[in-house]
Amino acid sequence: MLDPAAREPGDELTARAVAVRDGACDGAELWAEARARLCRIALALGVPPDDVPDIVQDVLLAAHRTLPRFDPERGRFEGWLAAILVGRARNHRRGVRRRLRLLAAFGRRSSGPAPRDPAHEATEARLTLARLTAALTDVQREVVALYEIGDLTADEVARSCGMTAAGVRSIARDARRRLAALAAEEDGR
Amino acid sequence: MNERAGIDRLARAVDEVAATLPVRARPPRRTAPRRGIRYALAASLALALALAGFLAWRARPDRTTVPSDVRVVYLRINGRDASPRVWEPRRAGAVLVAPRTASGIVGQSRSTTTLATIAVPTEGVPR
Repeated sequence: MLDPAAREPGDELTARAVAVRDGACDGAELWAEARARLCRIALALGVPPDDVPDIVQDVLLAAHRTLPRFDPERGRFEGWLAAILVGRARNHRRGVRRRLRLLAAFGRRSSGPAPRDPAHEATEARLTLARLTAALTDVQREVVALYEIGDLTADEVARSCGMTAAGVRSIARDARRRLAALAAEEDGR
Repeated sequence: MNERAGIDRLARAVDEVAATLPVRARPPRRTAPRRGIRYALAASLALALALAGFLAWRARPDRTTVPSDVRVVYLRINGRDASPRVWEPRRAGAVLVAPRTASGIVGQSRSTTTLATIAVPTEGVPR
C-alpha cells in the first residue's frame, strides 16, 4: 500500500489548471488528462461503463464553468474535480434507484440498460469491475475510488466525502480486506 | 492473504475498461446553458407553439366542398335550419361554398354564418 504521506503532491495538474484559469495556455491538454483520470475514478465508483463518458463530460463542463473560482490554496485540482465527480456519481446512483423503484411500483422488472452487443458486454474486465464494486458499500466504493484508484490523499478524500482522514484510512483498510477476501474466494474456485 | 490483491485486481479491471471507453473528440470549450437561459428557451418554445396553434386555428378551412353530383343544397346555421332558400350550383364539378356565399343565400350577415354547415338533402327540398 502506498503511504499517503509519500504520495506525489500532483502539483503539475494544479499548476496547469491555474495557467488555464488565468488564460496563460489552452486547456485541451488539461481536460484530456483530467478526463482520463476521472474515467478511472468513475469506473471504480461503480458508474456503469456506458454512462462514464457522459458523467465525466458533465463533470468537465462543470469544472470548465467554475474554473475561475478554483483556488489552489484550498487543495489540488484533482481533489476539486473528484469532489464534483463524487456528487455527480451519487446523483446518478440515486437516479438509478429511483427508476428501479418506479418500475417496481408499476409491477415491471427493470429492463436495465438497452441491449448491447453481447460480445462487448461480456468482456471479462467489465464483469470483474461490476463484481468487485458491487461487493463494497457506497461509502467504501467512494473511498476506494478516490484513495486507491484516484491516488488522492486521505485529507482530500475526507474533504470530498465529508469525513475525517482517519475515517478514510479505516474505511479503505476494510474495503481492501473485503476485496482481498473476494479475490481469494474467486481464486479458490 | 495479500491485502492488496483485490485492489490490484480492481485497478487492472478499471484500466482495461477505461481503455475501451470512447474518447470525446471535443474538449469542453463551451459551457452548458445556464438555468435561466434554459427557462427562457422553454418559455420561448411554449410561446411559439401557442402562436402556431392560434394561427392554425385562424387559418382553418371555412369553406366546404360540395360534391359535384349535388344539385341542391340548403343551409343550417348554428345547428338550426336557415330560411328555406335553395341554391343550385351554376356549373358542374365541385363547388366551394364560403360563409360569404352562404350569407348571400340565406340573407344573413356573415358573422352569423361562420358556423354554417352544408346539409345535403336527399329530396323534397323546397324550391
